Amino acid sequence: MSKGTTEKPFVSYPIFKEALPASVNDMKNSLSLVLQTLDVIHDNAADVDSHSLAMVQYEATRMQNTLTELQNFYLLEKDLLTIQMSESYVVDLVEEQVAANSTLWKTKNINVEVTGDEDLCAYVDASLVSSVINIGLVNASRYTRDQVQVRIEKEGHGVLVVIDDNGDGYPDFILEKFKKLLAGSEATETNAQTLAWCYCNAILDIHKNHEEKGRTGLSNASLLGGGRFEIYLP
Amino acid sequence: MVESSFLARKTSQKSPYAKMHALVADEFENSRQSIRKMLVTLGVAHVDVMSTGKAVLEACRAKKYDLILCDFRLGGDKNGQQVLEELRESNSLKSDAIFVTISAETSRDVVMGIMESQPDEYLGKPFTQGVLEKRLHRLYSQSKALSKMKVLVSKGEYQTLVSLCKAHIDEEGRYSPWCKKALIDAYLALNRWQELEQLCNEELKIRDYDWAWLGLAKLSIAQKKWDEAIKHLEHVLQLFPQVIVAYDLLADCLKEKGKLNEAQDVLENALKISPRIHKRQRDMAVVSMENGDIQSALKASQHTLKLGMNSIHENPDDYIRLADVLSESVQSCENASEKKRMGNEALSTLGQVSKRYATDEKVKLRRTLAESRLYASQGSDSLRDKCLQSANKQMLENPSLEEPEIVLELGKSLYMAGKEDESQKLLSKLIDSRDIDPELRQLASDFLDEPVSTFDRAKAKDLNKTALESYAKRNYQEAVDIFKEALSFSSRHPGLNLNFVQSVLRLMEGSEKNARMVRECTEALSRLEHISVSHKQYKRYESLKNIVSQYEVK
Repeated sequence: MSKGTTEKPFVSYPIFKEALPASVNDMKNSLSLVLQTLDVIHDNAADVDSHSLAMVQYEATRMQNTLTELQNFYLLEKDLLTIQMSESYVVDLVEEQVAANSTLWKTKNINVEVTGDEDLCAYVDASLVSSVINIGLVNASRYTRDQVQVRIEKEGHGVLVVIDDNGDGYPDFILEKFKKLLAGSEATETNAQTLAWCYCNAILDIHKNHEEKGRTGLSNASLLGGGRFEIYLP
Repeated sequence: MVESSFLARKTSQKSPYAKMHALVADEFENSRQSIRKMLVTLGVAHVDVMSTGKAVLEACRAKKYDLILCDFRLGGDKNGQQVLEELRESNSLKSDAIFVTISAETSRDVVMGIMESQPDEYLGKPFTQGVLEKRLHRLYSQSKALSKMKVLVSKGEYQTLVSLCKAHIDEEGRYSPWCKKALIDAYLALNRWQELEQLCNEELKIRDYDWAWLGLAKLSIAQKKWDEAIKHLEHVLQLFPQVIVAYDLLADCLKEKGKLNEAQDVLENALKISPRIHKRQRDMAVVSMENGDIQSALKASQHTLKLGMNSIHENPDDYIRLADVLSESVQSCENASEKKRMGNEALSTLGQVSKRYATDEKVKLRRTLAESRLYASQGSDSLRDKCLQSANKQMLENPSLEEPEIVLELGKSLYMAGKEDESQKLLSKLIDSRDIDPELRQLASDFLDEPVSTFDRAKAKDLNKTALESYAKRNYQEAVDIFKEALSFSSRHPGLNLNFVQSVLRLMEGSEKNARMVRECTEALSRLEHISVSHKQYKRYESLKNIVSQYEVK
C-alpha cells in the first residue's frame, strides 16, 4: 500500500477506438483456433458426441459472426469502414462462404447445394457481402432439418441470392418483427438476431445502382418447405 | 448450373498446383506452418516459408515463385505492403505470379494501404482451409486465363492487348470486367480517345462503375481539359467516397488550375481514408508548404519520412524537406521550449540523413546547406556561417556537385544568411541557363519572387486576396491600403507589387497627379528588377512601367 498519497484509480485507459478493434480481433482469432481444434477432434475421435460438438461449433461460429457485426457496425458508425467495390461472380462469394462453414455442415449432417446461374456478376464490396451471406448460411444451419439450397438468380438489373432450408419455417412473430425492422421502426428489443438483421440491412444499404438499393428478405417461401433468407444485390 | 461439389472432392485427385512454387511469409511460426500445411494438403509441392520482408525480397530475386502468401505483419523492418511495392518496382515477380496479402488488420488505414499496393488478392485472417482452396482455385483459373494479356501489359504491347481483350469480351469470357479495365489503360496509352470514351459511356449506361467514370476523367486529363476532369472526379467521389485514386487525380487537376488551397483540402480528405501512402503524404507536404500551412506541412513531412523508411520510397529529399519545414516552424514559433524541441528534431533528422547516405557527397553537401538554414532561422549566425564555409569548401573540392538542385538550395541558404545580392546573382544565372529542368526553374523563380518565410508568404497571400475583393468592388483606396500591408510581408512579389501599382493608378484616374503616389509606384516597380523576360508577369510589368513613367514626366 502506498502511504498517504491519493492514487488515481486508473492510470490510463487504452483509447476505446484502438482497444475495441484490437480485442475484437483477438476474440475472433481465439474462436478461429477453437473451431480449428473442434475440426481436429471431429476427424480424430471416433466416440465423440457429435451432437454436442455440433452445438459448440454452431455457437462458436455465431459468436464469430456477432463479433464481425459488432466490429463493422462500429466502423460504419465512425465512418471508418473500408468499402471497396469490385465486380465479383456471386457464385464465388457463395461457394467460399459455404466452404468456410464446411465443418458445420459435416457435424450437423446438412447437405448444402449451390445452384443457379454461375455467370452472374455483382458490383459489391466482396468482403462485406460475404459476411451477410455467411450470416444467412449459419442461420439456415440452425433452422434446417438436413437440407440447405442456395440459388443465384437474375432479378431485374441485379442478382438475387436465395437461401432455402427444409426446417419448420419461421414463426409468424419473427417474420412480423423482421418486417417492422425493414419498415424502419425501432427494434423494441435488441438481441443478437435483430443485430444481425440490422447489420445485413446496413451493409446492403451501401450497395446502390442508379436508383436501386440492396435489400434482404425473410419468409417461409422456401422451395424445400422451410424458411427463406434472401439477399438482393442491385 | 453449378453443383457445389467441394464436399465430395477428394484430395487424392491430381492437384493442378503440383508444379507450383509457393512462398509463405508470416511473422509467427504457427501461422507460417498452418498456412504451409493447408497448401501442402491442396497439393502444392514446393512451399518455402520465411518470416522477414528482407528474406522474401531475397527469395523472390533468387527464384520465380508462382504463388506468394504474405502477411502484412512480418518480422524485421518491412511490412507486407512495403515488400510488395518493392517487388513490383524491381520487377522481381513473374507477370502471372499470384501475390496474396494476408492480414488480420481491420483498421482502414492499414487495409487501404495494402489495397493500394495492389496485391492480386487480399485475404482476411482468420480463414479456413476451405476458403483458401476456393480462393486459390479462383486466382489460379484467372491467372491462367489472363497470363498472355498480363505479359502484354508488362511489356507495354497495348496494340495486341486491345485485340485479345476485345476477343475475350466478345466471347463473353469470365474475365470481361478485367479486360474492360485493361482496355481503358491501353486506349489511354495508345491515344485512342474515341474508343475509350465510347467504352466508358456504354458501361455507364448499365451502371455507375467507378472505373468507367475514372476512365472518362483520365481521358480529360490526357486532353488537358482540367475542368471536365474535375467534374468527373467530383462525381466519382460523390458516388464512391472511398475511390482513393480519384482524390489524387483531383488534387493534381486542381494544382494545374492553380487552386492550391482546394488541392490541399482534397489531399487532406484522401489522407483521412488512406494515410499510409508515401507519395500522398509527400504531395501534401509540398502543397501545404506552398499554401503557407506550416503545421500541415510539418505533419505530412514527418509522415512522409516515416513511411519512406525501410521502403523503396526512402529518399534524401524527405529528410531535407522535413529539416526545412522544421526550420520554418522555428522561425514562426513563439514558445521557446517548443522552438528548441523543433530545432533538435531538425538536427537529428539531418544527422539521420548523413548516416543513411554516409558515402554520398551530394547528400553531405545538402545536409550542410540545410543546417545553415536551420541556424539562420535560430539566429545562430556563427554556426550558420561555418556551415556555409564548409559547403563552399565541399563544392570547391568537388565541382561536379554543383548541380542545379544544389545551386537552388545554396541560393536559399545565402539569402537566409543575409547575402541577398549573391543569392540573386546565383539564382538568376540558374534561371537563365538553358538546360535546366523547367520545374526547378519555376522553383528558383518563385523563390526569387518571394524569398520570405512560409508564414509571411501565407499572410501576404491572404491579404492579396482580400485586397483583390476590394479592387473588384472598385474600392481602390481600401485595396491600395491592404496591398501595402501585404507588401510588408512579401516585398518582392511581382503579382503583389503590380496589383498595388494598378490600384494606385486607378485611384489617380480622373484626379490630379499625386507625387507621393507616383513615387510609391516607382518604388514598387524597382523592387521587380529581378524578373526576366521569361517571367509570366513580365508583359504586365512592362506595360504598367510604361504608364507610370508617363506620370513621372507629367
